[in-house]
Amino acid sequence: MPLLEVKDLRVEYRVYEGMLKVLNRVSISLEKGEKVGIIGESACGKTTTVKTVMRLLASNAKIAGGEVRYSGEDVLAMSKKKLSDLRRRNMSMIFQDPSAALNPVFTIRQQLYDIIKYSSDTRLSKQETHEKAITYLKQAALPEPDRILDSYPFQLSGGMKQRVNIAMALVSANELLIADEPGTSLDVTIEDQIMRLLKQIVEEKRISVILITHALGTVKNFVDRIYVMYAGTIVEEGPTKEVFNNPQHPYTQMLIKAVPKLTGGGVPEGILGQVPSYLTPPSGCRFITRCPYKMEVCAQVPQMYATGGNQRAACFLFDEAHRPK
Amino acid sequence: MSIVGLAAIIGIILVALLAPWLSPFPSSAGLYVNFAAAGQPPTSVHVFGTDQIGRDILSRIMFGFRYSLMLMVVVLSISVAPGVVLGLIAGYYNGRRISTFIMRLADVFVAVPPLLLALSVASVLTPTAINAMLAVSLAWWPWYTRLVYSSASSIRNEDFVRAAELVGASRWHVMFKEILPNTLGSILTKVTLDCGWVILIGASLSYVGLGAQPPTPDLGTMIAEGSKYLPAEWWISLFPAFAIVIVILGFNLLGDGINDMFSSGIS
Amino acid sequence: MSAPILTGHGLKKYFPTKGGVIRAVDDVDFEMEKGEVLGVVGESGSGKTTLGNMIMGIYPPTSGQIAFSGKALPTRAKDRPVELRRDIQMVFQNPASSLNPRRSVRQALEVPLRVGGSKESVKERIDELLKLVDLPVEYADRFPEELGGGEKQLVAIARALATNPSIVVLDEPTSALDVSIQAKIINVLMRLKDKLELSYVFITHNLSLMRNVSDRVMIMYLGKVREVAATDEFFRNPTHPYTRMLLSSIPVVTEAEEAVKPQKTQSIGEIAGALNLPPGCSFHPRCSYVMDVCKKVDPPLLEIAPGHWCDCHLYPKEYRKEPTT
Repeated sequence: MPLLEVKDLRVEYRVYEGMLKVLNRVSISLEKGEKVGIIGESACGKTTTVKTVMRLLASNAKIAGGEVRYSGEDVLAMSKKKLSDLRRRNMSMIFQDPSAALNPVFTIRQQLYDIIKYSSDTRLSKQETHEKAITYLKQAALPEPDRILDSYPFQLSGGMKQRVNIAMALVSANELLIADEPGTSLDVTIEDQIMRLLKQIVEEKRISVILITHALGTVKNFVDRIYVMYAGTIVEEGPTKEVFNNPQHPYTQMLIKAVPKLTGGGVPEGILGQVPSYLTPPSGCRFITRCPYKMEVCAQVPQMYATGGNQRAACFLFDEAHRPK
Repeated sequence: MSIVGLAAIIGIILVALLAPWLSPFPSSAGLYVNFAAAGQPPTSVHVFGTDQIGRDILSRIMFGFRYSLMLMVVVLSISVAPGVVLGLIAGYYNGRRISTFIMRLADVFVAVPPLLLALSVASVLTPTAINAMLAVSLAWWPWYTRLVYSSASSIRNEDFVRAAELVGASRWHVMFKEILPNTLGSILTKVTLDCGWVILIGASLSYVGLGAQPPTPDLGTMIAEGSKYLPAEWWISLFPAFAIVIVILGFNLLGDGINDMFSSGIS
Repeated sequence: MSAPILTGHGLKKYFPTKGGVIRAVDDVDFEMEKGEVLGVVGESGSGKTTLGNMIMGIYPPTSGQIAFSGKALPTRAKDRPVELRRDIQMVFQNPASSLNPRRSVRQALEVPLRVGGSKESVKERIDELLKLVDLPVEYADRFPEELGGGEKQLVAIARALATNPSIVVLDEPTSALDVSIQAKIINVLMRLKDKLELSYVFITHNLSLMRNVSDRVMIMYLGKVREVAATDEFFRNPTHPYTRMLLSSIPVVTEAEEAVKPQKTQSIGEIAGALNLPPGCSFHPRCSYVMDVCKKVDPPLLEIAPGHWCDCHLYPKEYRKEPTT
């Protein structure tokens, strides 16, 4: 049984102008110990997807359909207590802005102790809490953990704050860790260290990970499988290597081509056009406005078609019935 | 809710403008005595009753709105513009001496409670409507300076201001064309809320006798005169008081609405 | 060879603070030829943005001079004659804050055109500018909130070009944009460079982008120039240990790119805080080639190969490639 299963998820947001139909039949699954990446550009719905999984959606969000199952149980229908237990003991999240998750007026000690006490089922003595705190900070490769405990967030660098966030996430992420753009606001050399650390930790502890990012290079060395999202739809999925070496969906192909290469090759072509508005999205394939291969049938919603190997793409080019000759 | 506020305010403005035609007893607003009708509780003829010398209270309230609204317009016209300009200058030159000077000057005026300041000024000069307005204006401008200063000093460092300066825009252009439009939201919100406040302060001044003099109908004066007859002839004070409440509530709701409008970026 | 269009000599910018002096830019020399793209690469604290601001005259240098076409440039923008100010323009990093949200595109573009007394019909010029950056002329009456990030940046570029500059300082112009849009902006920039004979100071942290866009690359770290070379030479032969660490940290998308990254170097350590600069070479705590002299003496910037400068005690005497640890 997969650890996490999201099926046909549809999420909308209520705004002044109407309903933003963001997520359009999103399905992802995650086995125990597996690392999965969701890549996509800004506002493609990747954060909305994981927020739905953790049930952290904003008040103007509406789950219009689909289901989310964690270890078989329905997350969307879960009681508040059960949900709270899940968040306390099984899953956790790291966010993009290292400062966002840290309260600026409390020391790290106060914040970390709180998390440890809250997530434990038994009462812990002060000594035990302290020892646990040090352990977690050391796991996050923080030198001088005692000094860190006494620091306020503003006294720490971006990289150190993110390590603290990792330590805090490890307290409750025994099964699932969701990392939403964890390295994006960090400098390149620091991001590299953080991602290597994260990879080492999750592999050692066999924690399942959902890594969200728009940086293709970051996800490539980290996850086993990738989901490519565009405008609220999963357009391609498959093992990382295969998707990168042999992208199937036109969007994935164009996205990879659009990244400037370290080996040279000149300035890449972009993808002409714009992401469609969520207020009035295309009724069929949402990439239709920018796709060079569009056909008449693309006015309908494509399924996920097998494209060879373990890859699948949501594109009529791979539909037996409509494949162009 | 802000639509309710807007409706109330529009209603009041219309009433004030059309008072001579709308009010059932327009002469009540001036020198008028009619002891035969004096001291009547609300009836179908005099919907809000009459006061101690026979004047119709509803009519006086309608005319009273005129004075209140006029006070508000005059005070805000005098105090908002200089306050805003000083705030823009202080924000633009933030860190320099002129900015410190302006803000400390504003601090001085803010430190004195507005009613007290108005009272002092009004009692030194003769207690007339005009002087009351002058007095209130003096107390009002520094709040705008502070408000605009806080926005302007941070907007001043935004990239688009830098960009304008780099292409050689004059400082007046930067202050009025680049910074000011971005502060309008908070200024407008404050203006609408202040409308209610000015009216209240004006009424307070009149209540202690330093504003409009009898027989000019003014909500504050009416409350003062009527307070002598409480609780027996309650209508003489109560209706003017309600009128003030409605006006202030209306402006507050309107102000909330304007605030929402500007903060969510929808126009 | 004609004289360089822009040179900087001995540039220093020190900011005195309560905790000490921040040496944002510490003795930097640079040269840029006409029609060249000089890539200035660095992470946070490198001083690259401060350098850009000094060129623009936003900050006067604490010491040092900048020369434009051989003539000394007054240090403050206010002291420069109007024609000179209009000759060097800037495009900022954040598209959202570089346009006044309360002014339409037309109003934003009018500012540089009105000032300086342009005799041409302003409206015609605005249409011309919009066409230059591949935007439809109808956009003139739109407001920033109606534009996408990429479009806002194109308007910012149009604004910078309105005064017919010869040099444009681009401060991370595409870092805040999605990959598919970055390519479009870069394409517009490169096309305009050729068409209008511009020279670019291109500040970024993205080396993959530099590979494809710049003629020369200048690496900065903690206020000093560490390595400068023509792009091809730079990528063929990255010498400074920091450069190698930077290259090894870049997330890349293809196998070919992986092969080009330095294999034996890995990012370690934190970027030192500006008030706690390590003595000697400020990179030494993170350097895997560190020697005793590095802890005491700041290395000079020396030409180790024609046009290729590096400031490291390893060069040019020895040309070691193996790390000592």
